[in-house]
Amino acid sequence: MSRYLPLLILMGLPFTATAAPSDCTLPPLVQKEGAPKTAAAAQALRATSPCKIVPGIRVKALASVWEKLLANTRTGGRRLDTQPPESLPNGVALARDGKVHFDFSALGAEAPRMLQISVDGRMLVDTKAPPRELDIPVGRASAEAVFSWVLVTSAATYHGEFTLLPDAERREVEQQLAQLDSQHLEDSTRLVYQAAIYDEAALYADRERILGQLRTLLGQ
Amino acid sequence: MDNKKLAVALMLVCGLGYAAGQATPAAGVDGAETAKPAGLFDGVKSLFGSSKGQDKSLEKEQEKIQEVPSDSVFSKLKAMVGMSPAPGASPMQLKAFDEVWNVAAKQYDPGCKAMVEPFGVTDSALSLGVLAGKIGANNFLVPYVGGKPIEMRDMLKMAGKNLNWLPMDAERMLGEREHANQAADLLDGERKTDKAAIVRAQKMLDTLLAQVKEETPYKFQIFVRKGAGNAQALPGGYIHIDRDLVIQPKNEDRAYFALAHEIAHVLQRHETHATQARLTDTIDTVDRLRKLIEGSTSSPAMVLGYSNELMTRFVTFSKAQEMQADACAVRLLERAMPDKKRLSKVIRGFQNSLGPQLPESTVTGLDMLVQNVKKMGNLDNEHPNTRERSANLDKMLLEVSKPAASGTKVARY
Repeated sequence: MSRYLPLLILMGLPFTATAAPSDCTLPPLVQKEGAPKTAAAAQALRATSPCKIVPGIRVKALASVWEKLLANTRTGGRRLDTQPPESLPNGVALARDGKVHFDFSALGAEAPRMLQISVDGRMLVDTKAPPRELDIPVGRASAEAVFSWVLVTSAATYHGEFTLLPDAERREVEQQLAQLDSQHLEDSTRLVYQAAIYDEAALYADRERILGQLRTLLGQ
Repeated sequence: MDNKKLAVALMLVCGLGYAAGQATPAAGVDGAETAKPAGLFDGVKSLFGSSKGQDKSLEKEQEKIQEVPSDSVFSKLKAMVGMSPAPGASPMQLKAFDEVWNVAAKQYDPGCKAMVEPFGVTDSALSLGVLAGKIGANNFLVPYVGGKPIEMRDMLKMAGKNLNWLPMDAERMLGEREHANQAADLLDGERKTDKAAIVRAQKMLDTLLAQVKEETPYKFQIFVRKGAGNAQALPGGYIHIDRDLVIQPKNEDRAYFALAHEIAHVLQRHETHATQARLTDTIDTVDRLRKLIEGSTSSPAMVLGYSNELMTRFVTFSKAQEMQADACAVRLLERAMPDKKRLSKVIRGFQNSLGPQLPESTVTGLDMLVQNVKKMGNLDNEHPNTRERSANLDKMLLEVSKPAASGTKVARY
């Protein structure tokens, strides 16, 4: 048997070779009825080759982001704690140019009334009039530093906690984003890729912020 | 009305309560109470609304919003004999007639004396029979003691909100649909780190489920969600836990509490009750909304008043479920963690992670409407404030930490 092993390996090679391209091709994407802009965006996205645009990105991540874009936002179920708006930093956050971005535009008619942000118990921001967007300077805080925030709006009180993405992972994300910027792509395609990069790095607030921009672009 | 008639009326009412208590000792109307033989006095107490064991603040909150039909026979009898719940009375076997009048009156035991809500159709059928009997007695007594007869529609609404009539298959389908809608937010396990998170979550769930000794119809399934700090239970046994809780060892305690809390939501059929209540309430709500729109007296103030009323009912309902899930989580963790220090650490850790104790905001006018509209679209996200939640956890921790008296058999739920 063992003398046939190299032959078997050789016979298996074509199968391996045919399997590889599927990782670079997006499967048919979920569609939304009566949404021509979304259909066009899906077509443009499928025409791209993920392996070439952002090496290392998984096709599954792109498909999952697309599915999330079209999913019903009402989730149901019972939760452990009040879920903060998904676009606010929670879990892991990306510090770009030494700043973490807070975007309250997803709150809609719910007006922010108070915002407190602290790091390891030290208050960084305490305001009764938070603007719609805010960049919090985090400098060179370590990946172990825990940032906490409390947001009181006209409708609810939310709280969250985040740490910064470790340096090595941050560099990788920044490289992928730079690679993406160097491509000539449709706006919608670029945003889907950007959201997928964040999704893979567990930067869910950033992913949600980008999906918000995408929904606006597609008129959803 | 003469004393003889009143005595006959009281005997009938007491007898019915007694018979009902004997017939369905474990189920009750809400099925949340523990099985205990009901005596004659228990029957009377159940009719007049003994509510031992209920959190005082919740009790007060519910008193404010109950739509008790003040002219029902039972209310009149209660007023006539001047009877109020005896302090230290034993828990009810059956919910008092006027306490199950609307969705807000659905009582959730914040002490979690029973870990699993009845799921059999038989329990519901028996409870429905008891309700029908009570209403029959009410209508029979109206000519003697006055008041209004109760219509069948009201009885059905009452039953619809409080009995477990949604079949288990329907509950599973409901969960399956909600789960499928969130598929994009769940880890696929393709990457090594994701796979490790899923394996770890499954292990933690298994540890806790091994402590649920009661019979349940659920096949629990766990999924890891792309998110932070939270967990979610869907009907039928679907549990979603956020990624950071299972990949970071420092979050292990919170993960255990979260899973125990979510298992409790499933076992208590909270989402199913909410669905039942919504389905039943729609009859009333649509009708009232139509009147509100058509009515010549419609005004912004009326709309606001209506939205406030709806919110009070549903938000209280949701918050009471959260308190109960916390309590059941403590009981389940107590079984899984015989080391009291560890148990205390897990509970305290969760209490410390709750939001800050901010003063309750007093919103009015347009803000109130915005708040209500927001909440209407997201009723499942309502939780009690930190003070209430923490106080209930303190109470539960104290209860489960008490050493069992020598020679006393420790109750296992």
